[in-house]
Amino acid sequence: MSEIAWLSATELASAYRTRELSPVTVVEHLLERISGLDARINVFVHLDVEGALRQAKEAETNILARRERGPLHGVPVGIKDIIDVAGLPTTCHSRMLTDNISREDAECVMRLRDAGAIILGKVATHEFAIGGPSFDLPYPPARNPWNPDHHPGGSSSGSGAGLAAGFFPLALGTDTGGSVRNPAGACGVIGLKPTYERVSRKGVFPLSWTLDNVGPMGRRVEDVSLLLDVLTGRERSSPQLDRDITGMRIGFVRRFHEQDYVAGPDTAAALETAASVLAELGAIVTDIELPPLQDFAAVSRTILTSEGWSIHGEAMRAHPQKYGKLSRQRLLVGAFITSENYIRARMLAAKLRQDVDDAFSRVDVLLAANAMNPACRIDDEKAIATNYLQHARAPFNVTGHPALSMMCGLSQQGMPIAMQLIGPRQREDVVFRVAAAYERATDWIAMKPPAFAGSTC
Amino acid sequence: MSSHDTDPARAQKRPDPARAQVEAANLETVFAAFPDDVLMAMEQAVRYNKAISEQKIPKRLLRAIFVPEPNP
Repeated sequence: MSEIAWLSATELASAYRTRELSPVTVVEHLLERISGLDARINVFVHLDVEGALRQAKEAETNILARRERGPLHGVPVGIKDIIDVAGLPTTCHSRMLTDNISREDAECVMRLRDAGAIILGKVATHEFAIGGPSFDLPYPPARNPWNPDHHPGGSSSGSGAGLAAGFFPLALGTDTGGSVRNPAGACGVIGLKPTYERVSRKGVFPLSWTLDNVGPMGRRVEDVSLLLDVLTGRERSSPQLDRDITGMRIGFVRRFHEQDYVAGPDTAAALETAASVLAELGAIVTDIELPPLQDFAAVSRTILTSEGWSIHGEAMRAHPQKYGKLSRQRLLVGAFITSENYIRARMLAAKLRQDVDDAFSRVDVLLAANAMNPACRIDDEKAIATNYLQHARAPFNVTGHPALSMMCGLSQQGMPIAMQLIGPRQREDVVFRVAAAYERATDWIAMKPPAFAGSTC
Repeated sequence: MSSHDTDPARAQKRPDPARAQVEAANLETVFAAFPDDVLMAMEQAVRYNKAISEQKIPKRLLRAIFVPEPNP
C-alpha cells in the first residue's frame, strides 16, 4: 500500500483485520516519513521511535493472537506536548519544563492505550498553550504543511500540522480559546472542541480551568467521532454519520464574519458556498443572531488571563526570563485584571451560555466562521496578531457548546479555509452528522498539502 | 472631595500610577527585567477591564449565588 500515510484510523483498523497491513509496517513507514519530512515543519518535540516500535510489535503480536485491545488497536496518535505520557517529557514547549518527565499517562492517554492506540510522541504547541508561534523557545515552532512559510495555527500546532502532513491519522489537542479548531482550520483537517468537561483533563497542563478542553483531531469525520467515543468511554456514535440531514435546521451566524470581524473575500465566499451545499443536502439553513463576538471575546480573555496568571504568576515572578516573550506578554495581563471583573466575566459567561442555549430552541446546529482569514506568514508578527485575533472560536469555550472545525475552501494563495459547526451541549452527535454529510458531498477533506502529498517516504 | 485630596504635601507623595500597579501586583523584579512586556500587559488589561465593566449583567445573575457547574 503506497498511501499508508493517508489512511484513516478506521481504514487502518480494517487493514489490520484483513492482515493487509500490520502495525509494525505502518509505524515503520510513518517513522521513515517523519524522519524525512519533519525538518520542514517541526511537528515533533519528542519522537518516541523506540517506544512506538515496541508498541507496534506488541499490537502486531496481539492481532496475531486475536487479542485486539479496542477500536484504535495499532493506530498511531500524536499527543500535544502539554498532555502527560508516562516516561516521555512534557515540556509545554517551554524552557521552564525541559527536564520534566511525566510519571503517569494523562487520563485521555490512558483511554487511548486501553483502546489499543500507539503513542508516536509529543508534538509542538505554543508555549503553555498560549505563547506562540514563537522563535525564542527551546524548540522551533511548527509550520504549515500547505506552505511552511505560514503558521499552522495554534496552540495545538503540531497536532494540526502532523495530521495534514500525513504523520499520523489521529491527534490530541487542547482548546481554551480555539486551540484545536485554529490549527485544524489552518491545516485543513478536522478538530472538535467537545462539550465542556466531556473529556477528562487529568494530566493535562492547565491554562484556564473554566475554558480548557481536550479535543480529538483527525483527517476524517468518522475518525474524530471514533476518537471522541474512545476518550469519553461512550458507545460508538458513527452509525449517526450515515444519516442524511434532510430537514435539519441549521442557523447561519452571519454577524460573526459580516459585522463583528469582517472576513476576507475568500473566507466569506467559502462560507456562503458551504451554507448552499448544506441547503442542497436538504438542511433548512436560516440566519440566526447571537451576541457580538466582542462580548464573547471580552469574557474569554478576562477569564483566560486571570486563571492563566493564577497558574503562572509564581513561576513568572521567579523566572521571567525562562518564558518566551509572547507568553510573558499574554500571561502578565492577568496580573492586572480586577477580581471584580473576573467574577463579572464568569456571570456574563452564564448569560452568554443561556443566549446560545436559546438559539438551539430554534435550530439543531449552528454554522459559523472559524478564522476570518487563512493562515498568514509565520514570521509576520503584525499579521499574526490580527490573524489570531479575528476568529469566532472563543464563544464556544465561554459557553461550553461542542464546536467542530473543518475545511470548506482553499484561498487564492492555496491555504485552507474552515467553517465551524456547533451543537447543543452534549450533542456532538448532531455536529458529526452534519459534518459527515458535508464531507461526503465535497472534496475538501480529501485534499492534501501539495508539497507533502507527493512524498512517499 | 476630602481635604486629603487637596493636600499638596500628600499629592507630592502620590506614587506614579504605573509603578503603584507594578508594586501591587508584586512584579517589581519582572518589571526591572522586562518593562515593555509589563507595560504592554497593563495596557491590555485596561482594555479587558473596561470591556467587562461596561457590559450589563442581568439582574437575575446579580441576585443569584454563583456556583460553577458541576461535572456532567
